[in-house]
Amino acid sequence: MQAMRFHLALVYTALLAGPAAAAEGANPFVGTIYQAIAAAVVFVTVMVVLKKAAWGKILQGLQDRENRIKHDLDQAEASAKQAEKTLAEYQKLLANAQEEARSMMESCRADAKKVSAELKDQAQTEIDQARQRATEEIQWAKENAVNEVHAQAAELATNVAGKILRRQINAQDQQQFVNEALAELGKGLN
Amino acid sequence: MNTALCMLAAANPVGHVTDKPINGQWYVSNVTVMLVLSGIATLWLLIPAAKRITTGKSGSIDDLRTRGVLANMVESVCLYLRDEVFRPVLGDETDRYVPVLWSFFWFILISNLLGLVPILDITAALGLNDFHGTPVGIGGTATQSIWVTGTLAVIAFVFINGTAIIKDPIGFLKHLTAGAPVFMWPIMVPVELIGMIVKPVALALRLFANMTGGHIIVATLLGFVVSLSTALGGVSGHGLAIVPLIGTIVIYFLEIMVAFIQAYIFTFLTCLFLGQLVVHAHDDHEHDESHGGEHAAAH
Repeated sequence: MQAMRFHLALVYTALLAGPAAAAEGANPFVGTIYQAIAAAVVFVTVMVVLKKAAWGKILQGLQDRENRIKHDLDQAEASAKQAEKTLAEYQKLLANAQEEARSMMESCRADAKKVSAELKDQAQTEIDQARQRATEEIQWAKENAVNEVHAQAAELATNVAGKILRRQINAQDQQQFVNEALAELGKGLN
Repeated sequence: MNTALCMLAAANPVGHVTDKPINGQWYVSNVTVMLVLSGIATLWLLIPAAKRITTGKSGSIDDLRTRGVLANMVESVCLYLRDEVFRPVLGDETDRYVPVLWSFFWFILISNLLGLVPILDITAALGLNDFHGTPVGIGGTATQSIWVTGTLAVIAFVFINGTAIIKDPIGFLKHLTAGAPVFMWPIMVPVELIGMIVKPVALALRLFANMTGGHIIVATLLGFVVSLSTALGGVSGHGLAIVPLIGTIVIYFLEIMVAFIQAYIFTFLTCLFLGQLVVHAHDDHEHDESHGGEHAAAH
């Protein structure tokens, strides 16, 4: 019984979309001109009402937004271009400043080198002069010392000679002896 | 057996989608009622949305803001259609024709979607009677009537060709020759005329067939649910009925998608046919391509 009911159900379901569709009153094309008239009246009415009450406002809204977005984009583009230009100017200024700083540094370095060289030269000159002075002083001191040695030697020789001769000699004699002794001593040294 | 036949007749899926006169008069039928309901629903949706979409005059940034979820949804759809669908075809003339095209889209969409609401079944279940005391269900889908889709297609045909003739009568006549040499005109003109007639016929049949077909499938699957549950009964009958029930739910979601797609296709093709006639930047090559696009859309 159960199996028979199952088969019956399958037959019903298989038949549903078949002959039943062709049964009287089940024609999907059924209708009259009234539906067409109703469709035309309703659609045209809806279209006209919407044209008056909705589409104009919506279109206006879309166009205003579009224009505003376009305006904002144009403005943003102009600002970007301006910013780019300003950046380029600043970069140029910065590059100039860097170049100037570099040239200033080079100039300073050159000046420093020059000053250093001058100071060095000056110092060298002073050193040379000091050395020269020292050499001259040494020479002078040497000559003085030699002269003093000569004078003392002469005096000593005179005294020795006076003692030997046991006689009193005057200043003129002494001077003569000194000169002679110096001349001899000079020869001896040379 | 009698019980089975009664069930078969009651579950006739095609009967579910056919128009029926109310109170015995065809001028008030399921389709006409649904047409009026669709018109009211379209106005009820779009007019308040338009007030929220339009821009103010105060000069502040708030003027440009669309307020409300519904208005934003309407705006997104309108904007998409205008910028992505109509503008590539109509170019600078888009805003001139966009109100008619938007009207087609929204009216057909809302008619299609309203058809998915089981108003017919609800009113039938409520046990409404007509003036003669006959039980009657009121509802259905306006766009599942060939008379309605045919009328919409005729309006589209008049709009397309009327616009083209008013704008450039000579260009319209030239279009009938498809740019062919004079000796080819006896062939080309009839072909173009046939093409001109076929376009609205295709528009009407496509919308009608899709809406009717989808509803017949849903009604058939629901018929399976009823017949399996009734004929078998018990756990096995109700258990087996779950399968077509799930199928019905899946097809229902598909129908929602079809409702959008068919509204889109009707509008897009109307725009395309209009563009072929009123935008004269098209050369022969583009002409051929647009015919190709039409055939592709038809598939």
